[in-house]
Amino acid sequence: MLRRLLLIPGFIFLFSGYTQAQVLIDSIKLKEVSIVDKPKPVSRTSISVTLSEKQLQQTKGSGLAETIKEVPGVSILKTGSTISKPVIEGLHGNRILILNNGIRLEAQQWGLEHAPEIDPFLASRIHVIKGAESVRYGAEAIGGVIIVEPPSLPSSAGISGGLNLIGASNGRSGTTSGMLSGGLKSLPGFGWRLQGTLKKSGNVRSAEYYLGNTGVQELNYSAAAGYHTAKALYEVYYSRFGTELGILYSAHVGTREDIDARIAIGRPLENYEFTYNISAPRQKVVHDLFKAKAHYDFIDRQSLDITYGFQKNQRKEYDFRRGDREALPITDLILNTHTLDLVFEKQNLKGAKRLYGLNGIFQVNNNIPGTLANTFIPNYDSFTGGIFLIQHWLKNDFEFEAGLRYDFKLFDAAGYRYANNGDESSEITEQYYGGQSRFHNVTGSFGMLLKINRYWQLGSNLGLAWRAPTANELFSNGLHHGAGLYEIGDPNIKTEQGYKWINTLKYYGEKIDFTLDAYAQYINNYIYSEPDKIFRQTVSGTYPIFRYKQTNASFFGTNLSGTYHFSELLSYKFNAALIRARDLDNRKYLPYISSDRVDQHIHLDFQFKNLNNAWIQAGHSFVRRQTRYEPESDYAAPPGAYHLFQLSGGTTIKVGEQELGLNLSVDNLFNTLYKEYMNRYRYYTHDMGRNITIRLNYNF
Amino acid sequence: MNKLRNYSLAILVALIALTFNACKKDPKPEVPEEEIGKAELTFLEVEREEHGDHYHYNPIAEAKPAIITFDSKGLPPVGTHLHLTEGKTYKLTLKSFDFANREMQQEFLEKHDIHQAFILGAPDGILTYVYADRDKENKKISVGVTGYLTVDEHTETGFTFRYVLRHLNPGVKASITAANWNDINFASKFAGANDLDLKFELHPVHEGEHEH
Repeated sequence: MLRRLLLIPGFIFLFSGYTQAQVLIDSIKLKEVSIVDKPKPVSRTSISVTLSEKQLQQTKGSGLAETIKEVPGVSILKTGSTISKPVIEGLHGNRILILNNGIRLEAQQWGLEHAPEIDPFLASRIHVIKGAESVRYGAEAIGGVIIVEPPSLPSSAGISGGLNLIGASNGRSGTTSGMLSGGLKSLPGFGWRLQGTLKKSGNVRSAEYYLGNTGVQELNYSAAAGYHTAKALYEVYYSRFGTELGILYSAHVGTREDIDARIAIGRPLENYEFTYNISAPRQKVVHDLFKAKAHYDFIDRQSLDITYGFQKNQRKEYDFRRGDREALPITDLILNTHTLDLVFEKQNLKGAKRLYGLNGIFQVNNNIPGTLANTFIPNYDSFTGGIFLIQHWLKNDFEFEAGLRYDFKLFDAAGYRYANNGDESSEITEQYYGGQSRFHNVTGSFGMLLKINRYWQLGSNLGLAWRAPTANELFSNGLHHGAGLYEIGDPNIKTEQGYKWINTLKYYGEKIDFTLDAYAQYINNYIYSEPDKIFRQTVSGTYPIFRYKQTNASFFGTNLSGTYHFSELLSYKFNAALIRARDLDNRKYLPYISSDRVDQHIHLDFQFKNLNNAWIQAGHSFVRRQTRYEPESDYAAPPGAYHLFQLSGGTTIKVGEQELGLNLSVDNLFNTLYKEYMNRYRYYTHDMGRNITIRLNYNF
Repeated sequence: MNKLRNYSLAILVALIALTFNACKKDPKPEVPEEEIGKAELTFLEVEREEHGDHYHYNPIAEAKPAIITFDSKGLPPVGTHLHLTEGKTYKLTLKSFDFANREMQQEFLEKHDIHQAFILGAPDGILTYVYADRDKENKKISVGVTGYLTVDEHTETGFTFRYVLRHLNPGVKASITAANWNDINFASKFAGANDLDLKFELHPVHEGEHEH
């Protein structure tokens, strides 16, 4: 039976479109434990959470990190109100992997102030894997994987589409996003899709004051086409993500004296008005992605997937500069990435399957000359090659998966920097640096899923994941403009290896369902930067020096989420996350680990006259103060605990044959003035005040 | 299978072509033009003449300037110690030099909406400073490239005189008045970064007091 259940969605995915799958689902009607409308691109033994199209609808208009923050164990690392990075169980940046339509996102993700270049409007589903699944997905999946999955291409004639209009009060933002897809009568099996998003937002407001220079503009678009025959599927895809965003004026700091003085006040003293204008400091990022994929089915349930991806990431950062140089980027980088993935899958009659995989990544990073400023990271070529084998076994109530992988990485860097030759008192000289580094790594993983009975399910996943040090960790040397610190890399840094064991217990009852995750992670050679006790003296003052170092670190945590159904219409949902992280070598706490948090809400579905699927929801979040921190490695103590309240509601209205979706939400209902520990600009400002968002959605 | 082979081959050829015609470029050293190379502060005695609620400052023909130089770290020569005399007024002018040793203080005047100097370090009541900059239309502006420093009192020992030229964040300058010239809370009140932070030892003395 299980084999059949696995095969059915697989068949649907390969040979038909989403619409057909949806029909199948509607007819199955398995509440919560449904065998899904189309197969997840995630192994069933992975510890993962999927956000459905309906759930995504409620957060539309937000960035990727905000979109997935309701997943238990996911939090956000913010740099002001304009930049958000997703954090999975304490890890972010190069320690988590983001797959955009099957291609690993390769950008300058090492930067804490670099948000992922993905338009969440693209997604019909988002999967968050919390295990360290490097075997399947490759290096950097130490903390987890985020998979952004677009809708399947249609395979039959006709045109369909959807339009989203979103307006938000805070920042007076407006977002329009549309999607159009169709097929050709003359060419069955052919499908296409066009999608685009336009967003503009101005200065956002904390509860009491505007945050100067926090506007955002975004223009994203994508096009896809595919063709399938009985035994093959071909797809090409192109997307562009383009954004320009302002960096809070008040966070621009110079010397340590500036930083201390600003922190003592804790909020800007300048008054800024509302504006859509974005000026320096600002970022301008364009990310292009091209993908070509072919899938072939052979006899005896064997198949082959070949996926090629090309990404071009161009990042320009503009800072306050002297003279007329503000129009010149202070950082100007182009990163080109080619990826090639080959996966051969073999399934036996009992449903067990084996995957053989081969990955190649080739990257070229170049600084574009003419910034008239020190380059922060070098030019480099990087080649990564990996092979893997995954075996999946299937019994009636039990599934087991084991995988093994070998990776090789060659990293060849070259750059110029200005160094003191190790002597802080000597004059600064120009130095050529770089060279080749080679990294080898063997990773492995085990996963299992046990269906205890119709109510209980237990999953467990043990993974070893790795990542090579990034260019900035190896070679950065210079003033991090706007952040007021010198960062110095270490070319001898070794690879980082993370062992993560995560377990999940699920219960699906009549009235109650819940999921309890518990995980433990040990990271060998954890790379971090720490303030040196040395300051760098310049004509404009003294700056603290941060050096990259390695230690061993541990992460323990648990997430609990559950729903209690009072009736068919009224339910209560609860979500809590707790994490404890330690630097084991130095017996210290690690910085930027989310504090304990609880979210809860009451949800009521109702029918009212012509309104269909109407609902209203009242929510509350409580975030504790982070008490586990090291005073000497942070500028200021973590901010206090806070409570936030939220109110939202939605309905659908019949418009002819179609339905118009309407959704209204009020975040930070009581306009609370608060600061969040995971916001790197908490030193200088408060977080966002009340925000009223209205979302209209029309599908045809 | 033949078809498969053809397609796979096409993809591989395209990949190889894309991959191997593009490697990293040889890095070019950037001249960090942002950095200010050196700076100079000049103290030239002038005559202060009272005109109702303000003063006029007249040159003194035989006055000799005292020039303090600062290197790229903002440090003066070792042992720098300047004496200024109680009751006298000095025209204080800044010269700064860019990475190529070109004078660039004019830039601060051109962008006077985001630059202002603060004169710090003196105990209360010892010094008075008045901004004396002019923009292109000869209108008075407060930057501190030129100003008049009056020694109101002498001190027993010297102190560290500090000249900070602030590169202010947008919108900040509007809240600064000429009376803020010695505001010790400049870093918290007037957000921005320092373009120059120059320090040396200054000792206001009595007229006729010997050098030491």
